[in-house]
Amino acid sequence: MKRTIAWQLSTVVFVLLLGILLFAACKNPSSRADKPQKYSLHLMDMDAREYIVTTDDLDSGLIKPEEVTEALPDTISRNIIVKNGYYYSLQRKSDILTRYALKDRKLFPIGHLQLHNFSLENFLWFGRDSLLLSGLNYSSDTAKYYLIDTKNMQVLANGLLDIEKPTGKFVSTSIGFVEKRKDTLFVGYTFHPPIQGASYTSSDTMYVSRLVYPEMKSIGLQKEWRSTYPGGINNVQHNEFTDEHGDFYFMSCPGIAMGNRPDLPTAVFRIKANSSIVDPDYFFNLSSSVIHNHAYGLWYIGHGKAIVRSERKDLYKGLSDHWSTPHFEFYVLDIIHQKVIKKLDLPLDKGTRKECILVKGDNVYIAVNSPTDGNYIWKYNLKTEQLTRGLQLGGVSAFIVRLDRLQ
Amino acid sequence: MKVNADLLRKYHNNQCTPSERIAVEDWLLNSEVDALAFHTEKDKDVIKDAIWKDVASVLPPKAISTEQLLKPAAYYVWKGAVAATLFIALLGSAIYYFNRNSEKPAGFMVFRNTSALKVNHINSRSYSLTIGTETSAEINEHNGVIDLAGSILISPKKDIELKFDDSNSKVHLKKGQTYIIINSKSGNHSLIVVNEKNLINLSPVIQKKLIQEFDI
Repeated sequence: MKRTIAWQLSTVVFVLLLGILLFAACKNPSSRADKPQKYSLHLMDMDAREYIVTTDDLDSGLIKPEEVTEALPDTISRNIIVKNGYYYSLQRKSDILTRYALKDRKLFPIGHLQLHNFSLENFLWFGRDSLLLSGLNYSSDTAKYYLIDTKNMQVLANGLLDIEKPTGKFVSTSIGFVEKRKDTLFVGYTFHPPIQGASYTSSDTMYVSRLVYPEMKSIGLQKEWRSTYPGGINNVQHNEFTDEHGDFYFMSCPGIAMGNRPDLPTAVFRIKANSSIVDPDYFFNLSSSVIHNHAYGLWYIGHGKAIVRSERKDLYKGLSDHWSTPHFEFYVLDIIHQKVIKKLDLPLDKGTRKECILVKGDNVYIAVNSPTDGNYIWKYNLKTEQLTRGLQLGGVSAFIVRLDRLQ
Repeated sequence: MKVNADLLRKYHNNQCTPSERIAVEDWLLNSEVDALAFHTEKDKDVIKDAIWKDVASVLPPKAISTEQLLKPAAYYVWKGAVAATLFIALLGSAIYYFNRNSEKPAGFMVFRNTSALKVNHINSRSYSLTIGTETSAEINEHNGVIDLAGSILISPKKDIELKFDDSNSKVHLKKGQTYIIINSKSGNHSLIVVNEKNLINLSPVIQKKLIQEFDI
């Protein structure tokens, strides 16, 4: 009798377990699709349609965007901020900042925030959910900021940034970097005269204002004449970083694609951790190094090294083909000793400005688009200095314009 | 072929077939051809009345009333003659005017926008064009040569090919796409042609200016 009961009980338990297993097996595919993946890739095809695909594996495989997702709507572009599984995009016509999450491999809006008369120049995370957006009004002559609680999509603070205004022959501003240290904000910028047709240029001077946070009032101003156009719009490409010692580095971008003062050098500058001014003794002139060109894009890869993405002025004709011609090279820099270590043996890359480098431990992942060698995520091992081809982007992919850590 | 109001409308919209075009041009040049055909007799009367009202408004009212009272028969003859003459003259000028305008986009065009603030919008058979601020553009559609100083936003309605005065390269523009073309006679960027979707590839300084200028 006891044996029969035990048998019946074990049968019930078995059936229950089987049920749970079956339920889990059925549920798994959908939950796997929704499970946030580690990396986000922003792709563009030849007709300028854009796609966002995600993956856990940058080392191998093939992704064809048209097979796994749909093209993004026109309202979302590559100037997007990616953090902790969410995407943030400011629509330039409506001034609405939207927070998106991935759902069925597509961006799904989950929060909105209306900003006013605001064009974004730089973003900076103060914490997991606090985002500082620095930018300009539509006329580009007044600096403004919004401090946003991204979890609840609410404005925590907003107002004017107390930096210099364009005067005399200058009518507009470009803010190239914003860096925070305790209660001080460093804002790097320059000015521009009115634009006539395609002829634009920048002042030969760059400015670094120190503002006290949170009041955003000026407590110091430094003028620099060694180069101009500091940094850039960092939700399109980074030109600045802080190293393990707290030293802040930024690159000037006077080449034709940014400041258009090609007579001045592309150079790296430093504000040391214990200093409040641009280091007068530090000036890493890349244009006069073996690189011998202007550059756009600088990323820190650890241990005093950085990678710069530099153009080849002998390979493009002008701004019309600057983005479509493969002419970009990648160099490893010794940022402390101001030396070019080596050029990476990669195919020439195309696309004027891209966020294309991601560091994970000893590996640096570099997204390269070559019309002849294909679109690949290359892996550069910092210890062995070996370069290997990883994930391939196929199908309609023509440009990998962003490579972001999603989680 | 009977020339009627519909055919004339097609003619000045450049939608005529070659045979229709010949018929209209024959009708215009030949004084011996049939009178203009109206849809109905009512249309004819309406137009006649309208013309007469115009004529009557410029005539001394006293004279009209006298003539109406004393010479009703002569008045009607006179009225018919004036109406017919004026109608033909008006129609001729209208056709000349429309014809002149419709030929313009097919040939040589000069646009100048001297405003520092506002853009001009132009629609033609081949493209929609927005002329940027402080811009002059001369477009020769026969050979596709453009002489441009400033900025234009162009959306071709068919695939077109353009050449620029100071550049040897040809630019292919695809139907249904929107392109921004900027050119300067000075500076180191002589000519930039970019699909509106690729605006982000341009320098941020130019991007911001174009976004403001063309409201894109």
